[in-house]
Amino acid sequence: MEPAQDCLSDVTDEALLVAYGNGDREAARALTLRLAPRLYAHAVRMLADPAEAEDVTQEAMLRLWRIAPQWRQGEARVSTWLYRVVVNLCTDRLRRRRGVGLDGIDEPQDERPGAERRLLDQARARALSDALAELPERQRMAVLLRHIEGLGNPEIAEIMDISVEAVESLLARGKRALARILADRREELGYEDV
Amino acid sequence: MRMSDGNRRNGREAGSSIGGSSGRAPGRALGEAELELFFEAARSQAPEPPSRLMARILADAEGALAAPAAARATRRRPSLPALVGRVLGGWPALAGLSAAAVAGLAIGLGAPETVEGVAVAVLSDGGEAAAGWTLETLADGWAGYGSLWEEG
Repeated sequence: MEPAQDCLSDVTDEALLVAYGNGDREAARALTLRLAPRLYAHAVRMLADPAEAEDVTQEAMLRLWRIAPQWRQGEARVSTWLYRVVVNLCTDRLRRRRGVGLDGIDEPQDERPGAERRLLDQARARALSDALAELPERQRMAVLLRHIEGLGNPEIAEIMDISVEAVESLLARGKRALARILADRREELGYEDV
Repeated sequence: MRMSDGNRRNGREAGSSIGGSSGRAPGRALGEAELELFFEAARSQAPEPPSRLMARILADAEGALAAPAAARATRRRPSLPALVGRVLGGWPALAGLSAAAVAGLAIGLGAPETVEGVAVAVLSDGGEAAAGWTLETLADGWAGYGSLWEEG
């Protein structure tokens, strides 16, 4: 599929969903371009398996299409609802396959000259991914939603169906654990002078 | 390799450790700013969804739109007997109604004998004939109903 612009960028997710529920196919396209990449990235980070992340993303979007005609406006943000579905689907899959690491992720290759910074970013992202895999599932989820997806704590609380205080606690413990784990990579990733 | 400019700007935070002491790491735990560099790197390396996934999602959207329309198309208007049956409460109710109709018809056919007898008695000349009309006359008329009921 060719990259496409979200030509309805001024329209809210909810308005697009209502339009889709009324038969507007262009609204479905705009919602897909806007939301699917975020869901997919989150699912890949949670599951460490691109193929499974595809299935989860497709399933979440399918549930959105099906609920569109009955969507009750003003009750929840579409993105929050979708993240919640993705989180639940990822949790189900993780519980079915305990103990699988992140080795399945392909290392992106970049052979362009002058890509030193990019390579460093790849190494850091890889190190973070490995470190996240060592966290308990709920801590990993909270850290990803907060620090990678950039969501606020109240929204994360809604997605994870816990209190804001519980989110703060998960984040604090998760970041403490990451900081300890990544300290092992300090020299490798260029933090020896810090 | 040295710390990036972004990390230098946050040098104060970078110096503050998040993890504190730990049994597993030989070195000091990373500071907030150091950890943030890892998050930045991860954000910049977001996995891109493959085009086949986007195509599948859009196909699902198309299918979900078509499904309710197809369901509406296959939902036919009910026939008149079916509609009557549904309004009255289905076949059990219709059977009861039919039995009541047959009984009503039988009563209607059996009634003239008695009514005729009474009418003749009442309408015949003078009080004698009227006086001749007794309960027995009526009882004789009702005997016809007994036979009707026995016949079903």
